[in-house]
Amino acid sequence: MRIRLTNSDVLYFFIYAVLGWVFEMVYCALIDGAISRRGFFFGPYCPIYGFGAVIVLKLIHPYFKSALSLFIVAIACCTILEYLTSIAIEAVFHIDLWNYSDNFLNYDGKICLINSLLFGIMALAVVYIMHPFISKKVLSISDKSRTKLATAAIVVILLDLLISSISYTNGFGNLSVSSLFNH
Amino acid sequence: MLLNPFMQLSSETIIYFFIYAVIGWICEFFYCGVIDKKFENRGFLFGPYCPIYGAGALLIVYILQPLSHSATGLFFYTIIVCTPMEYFVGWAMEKVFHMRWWDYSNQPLNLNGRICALNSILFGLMGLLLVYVVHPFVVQLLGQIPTRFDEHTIAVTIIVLIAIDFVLSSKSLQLAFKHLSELKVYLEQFRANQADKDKKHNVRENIREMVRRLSKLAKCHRLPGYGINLINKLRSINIIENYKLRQILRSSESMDLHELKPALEALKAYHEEQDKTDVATTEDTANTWENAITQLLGETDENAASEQPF
Repeated sequence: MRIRLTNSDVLYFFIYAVLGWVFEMVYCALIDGAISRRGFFFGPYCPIYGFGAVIVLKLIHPYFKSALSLFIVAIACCTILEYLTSIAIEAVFHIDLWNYSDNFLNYDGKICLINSLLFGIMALAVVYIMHPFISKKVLSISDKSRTKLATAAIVVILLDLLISSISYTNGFGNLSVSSLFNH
Repeated sequence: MLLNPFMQLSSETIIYFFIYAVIGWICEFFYCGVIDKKFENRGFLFGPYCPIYGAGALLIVYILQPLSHSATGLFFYTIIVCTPMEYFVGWAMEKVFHMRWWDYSNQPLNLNGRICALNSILFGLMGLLLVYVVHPFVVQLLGQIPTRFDEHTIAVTIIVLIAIDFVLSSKSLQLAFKHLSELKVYLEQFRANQADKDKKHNVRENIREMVRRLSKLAKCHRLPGYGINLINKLRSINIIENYKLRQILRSSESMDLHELKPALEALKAYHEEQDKTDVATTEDTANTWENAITQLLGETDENAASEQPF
């Protein structure tokens, strides 16, 4: 297995994280009928989508060429990723960023059938529809600029990780922030 | 040859350090979670990384691997180097923060609860896994970093990140201990002034206030929405009061915290009460701590009543 992370992979990660965030906003707005901010991070990106997309593109697609096998393996990997992320975020920060308790065939409210199927479809959409276009755009950027952009993306995500970790561990969830200063 | 790794202490090394600190945190999170049947943030810092694993991994990859000629040698070198390191870090963290971060007192063959045979063997195995599986993969994955990322910028970011986290985490712990000591004083005052009704009322209010402050930040509640803007998020960094209380509470069973015991009991009563009811609103939170503290104080009242006949 020879996988090498390049500067364009980091950009793909970032682009799909942003697209995932946009998708979440639209999808949840349609379901809930109201716009709400999504994601653990402060910025407009959901890294879990970025990870999912890069895993599909770099790890799964090279070995499972046919659409059906890609679909099945992507479902398995993304469901495991979603489950573990959910355990970690709930345990550490005591919030559930997603809850499928009411959905058909869910496990512990952390994963559910329909969303897993959706991941499979998204994997296909990424590999066959979006990626050809996105990779063309990304690769048209000069290598030097890609390196700079990839570095910036990593720095932004690292800093956001710290800010978000600290703010969520405060647990001011059901208390307004101003009330914290009244003592 | 031995000095070579130090000459190479480059930005690349710092990136590896960070990667292994994160991997270590993930291992610790799931390993301890499965063993304790409860997943909790491990370690001292806010972010998802344990620097001790990063440091250990660098030690193994850059110094122990070049020294050892066989897998068996590496296994024993890792045990011989990492065990004292764990003991020393455990001891130092206890001295600095007055609490325990890991405790093997119940394990066979432990030394002061800071190291134990099972974990040392696990370190040896992790060393082998690192050198023969994980590190080759990571090296191959990242390849020649400079051609792909600006490694210096990333290394500086990592250092700044961990430094800020370290300062904020220490401050958070300090504040937690400060509030606990204050709570202890109020509880003592309450017991001393049981006869005087007015005083008792005042002290009771103080205790309530203190428990409210402590518990407000000690346990996170489910967020009703995620609409938190930048200003609130950044402001919240200034009020990182008491998330570390959870770590203190966990540690209190094994550590000599007798002085703070009444305060910790009050807090634990609060948490038990809170676990019973699924706290959803600010109102509920207020009721919960009120119940907990009334219970605690109620016991004291009963004690006072039983003493009165004399």
